[in-house]
Amino acid sequence: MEIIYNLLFGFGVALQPNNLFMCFIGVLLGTLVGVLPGLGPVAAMSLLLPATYHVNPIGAIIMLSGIYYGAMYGGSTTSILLNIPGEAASVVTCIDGYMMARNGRPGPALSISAIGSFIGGTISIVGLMLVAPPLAEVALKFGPPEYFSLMVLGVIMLTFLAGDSMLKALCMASIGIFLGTIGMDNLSGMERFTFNISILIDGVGLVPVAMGLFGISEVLLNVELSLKRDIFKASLKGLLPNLDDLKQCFWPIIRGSVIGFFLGILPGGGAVLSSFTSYAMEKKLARHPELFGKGAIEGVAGPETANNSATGGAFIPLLTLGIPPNAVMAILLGAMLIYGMQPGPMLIKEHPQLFWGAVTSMYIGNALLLILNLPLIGIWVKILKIPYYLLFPLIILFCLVGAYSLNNNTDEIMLMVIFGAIGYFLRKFKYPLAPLVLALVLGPMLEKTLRQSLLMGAGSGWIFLSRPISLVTLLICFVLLVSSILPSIKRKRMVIRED
Amino acid sequence: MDQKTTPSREEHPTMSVILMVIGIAIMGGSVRYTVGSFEEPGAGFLPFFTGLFITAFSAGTFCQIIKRRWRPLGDLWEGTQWQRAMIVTVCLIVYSAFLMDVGFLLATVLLMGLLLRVLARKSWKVTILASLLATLGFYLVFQIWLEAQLPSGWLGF
Repeated sequence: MEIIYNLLFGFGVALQPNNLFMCFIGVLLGTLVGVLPGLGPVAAMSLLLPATYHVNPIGAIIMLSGIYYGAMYGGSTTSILLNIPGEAASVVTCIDGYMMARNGRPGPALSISAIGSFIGGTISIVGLMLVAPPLAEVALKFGPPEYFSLMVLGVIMLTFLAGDSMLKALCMASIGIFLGTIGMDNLSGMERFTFNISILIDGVGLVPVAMGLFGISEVLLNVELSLKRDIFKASLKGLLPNLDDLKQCFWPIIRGSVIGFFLGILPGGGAVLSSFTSYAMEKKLARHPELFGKGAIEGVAGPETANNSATGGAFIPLLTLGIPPNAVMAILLGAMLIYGMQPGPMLIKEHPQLFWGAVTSMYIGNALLLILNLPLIGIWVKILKIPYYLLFPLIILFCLVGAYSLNNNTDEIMLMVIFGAIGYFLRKFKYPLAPLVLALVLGPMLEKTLRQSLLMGAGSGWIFLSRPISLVTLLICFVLLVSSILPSIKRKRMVIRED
Repeated sequence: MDQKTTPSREEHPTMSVILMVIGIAIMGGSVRYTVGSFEEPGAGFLPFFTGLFITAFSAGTFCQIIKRRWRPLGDLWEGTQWQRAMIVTVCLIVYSAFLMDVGFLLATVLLMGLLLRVLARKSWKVTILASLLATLGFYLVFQIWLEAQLPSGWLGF
C-alpha cells in the first residue's frame, strides 16, 4: 500500500509542468548525444551541469537522469545505421544491428531496439522502486569500514573493465583519488597542493575536470583527424518488426532486462558490461548461433534492452549508499552535492520528493523516448548529417560557458583547458579516463572513511576484515585483482574501451 | 627497438615515465603536509599513498611496454594534423586570459570566427553568420534565460 502511495506522490512531483518539461529536455538531449558519435552521456551531463544551477534541483536531477537513459536509446541509432556506436554501451549493437541494416532491415532493427529499451527501462525502474527503500534501511547500519570497502570495490571493478591494461586503469584511479585530496583537509584544516590558487582551496571541481577530459579532449582528437564524416544514405522503409521478429525477441528482452538491472547495481558494472553479457548469453542460448554477426535480431534486442535496464540498476548504489557505480553516476552525485543534497541512506527520508519524483519521471521519460525514437527516427537520421565543423565550435562553447558559470571565474576555464590537454595525451597513450573521474568523486569520501576507520581500529587494518560486509567486499576486490593477473582470465576479460 | 617489423601494439613508455615522476613528486609533496601514522593518519596520509600507487602502477606499465616492441613516439601522431589541436588549445588559453577584459560577446564571436575560418576553412559569409548566431544563441540562453553572469568587458557588452 505504501508503495502505491509513494508512486502517486512521485507522479505528483514528476507531472508538475516544469519537471515534465525538464524530463522532456533531458530525454531529448540524451537521445541527441546518444545519436551523435563522440559525445557520450558523461560529456553531455558535464556540459549541461552548470546550466542546471539556475533551475530547481529536482528538475535538474530529472533532466540529468533523462540524459543518461536517453543516451542509451539514441546510442543504437548510429550503431545500426553507420556501424559507429553513439556511446560505449552500444558497441555490441553494431555487430548485428549494422548487418540487419545492410541486409535491408534497418527499420526493424531500430524499432526492436526502441521497444526493448522501453521494456528494459521500465522493468528496471520497478526494480529500483522495490529494491532501493529496503536497501537504504540496511545501509543505515553501515559504518566507515563498510563504506570504504564498497568504494574500493567500485574503483577496482571499473578498473577491471575499463581497458586492456588494468595497471593503466589503476594508475588513473590513483590519480583521481589524489586529485580528490587537493584543497582544504576537512580534519586538520590544512590546504594541500593548492599552490595558492584560489579555486583549488575548495578542491578540484568535477565539472572542469569532466568537461576537459571528455569534452575538450574529444574535440582535440577529432579536429586533428578530419572534419568530414560519412553521411548516411540508406533509406528507412518498413519500420516495424514482424510477428516472427517479436516472437524471437521476447525472451532476449526479458533476459536482457534482468541481466541489465543486476549488473547495473554492481559497482563498476553498468550499461556497457550488461550489453556485452547479454549478447554473449543470447548467442549461447540461440537456436541458430551461426546467425549472430550476420544480422540476428536477438543480438540487437538483448543488448539494447540490457543497457537500458542497467540505467535503473545503476541508480540504486547512488541513491541508497551514496556510492556512484560508474562515471555517469559520479557526475550525478557531484550534481546532488552541488544542490546541497547528500545521496545515501537518508536521501529517501530527507528528500522523498527528489527520490520518488526522479523515479516516476523515468516512467514518463521512457514513454517519451518510445515516441521520440520510433516515429521521429527520420529526424535523428537527419541530425547525423550535421557537419562536424559546425558541431565542434558548439561543444567548445558549451564547455567554455559551463566552466565559467561555475564560479564566474576564468580560472575554471583554464583548469578545464589544462584537463582537456591532459585528456588528449592520456587518450593518445591509451589510458582510460572513466576510473579517474569516478575516483575523483569518491576521493574525499574515501579519505574520510579510511581515516575514520583507522582511528576506530586504533591504526589496525583488522577493522576492515573483522566486519562481514567489509570482509566480503575486500575479498571480491582481491579476487578481481588476482584474476586480472592470471593469463587465462586476462585473455577472457571483457575489454571495454571508452572510445 | 627493432623498427623494421611492425609492432603489434600502439603503445609508448613516455607517459608511464611522466606518471612515475608525478607519483614521486606527490609523495615528496605529501611529506610537507604530515603523513602521520596508521594510528593517527595526517593530512598527507592518503596523498602519500596515492603517490606511491601512481609510481608503482606506472612502473609496472613501463615494464610491460618495454618488454614488447613499441612504436616510435611520432607514430602516435602519424596521419594527423596535430597542429589543429594545438591551435584550438592556444585559442582557448588566450580566450580565458582575455575574456574578462574583452567581454563574452566580442571574445566569443572572435573565437568562433577563428575556429570556423582557420580550422573548418569556411567562407567569410558562413564564418561570420555562424559565429554571430552561435554567440547570440548562447547569450540568449545563458545570460537572458538562465540569468548567468557572463562577463561584459571594457565595452560593456
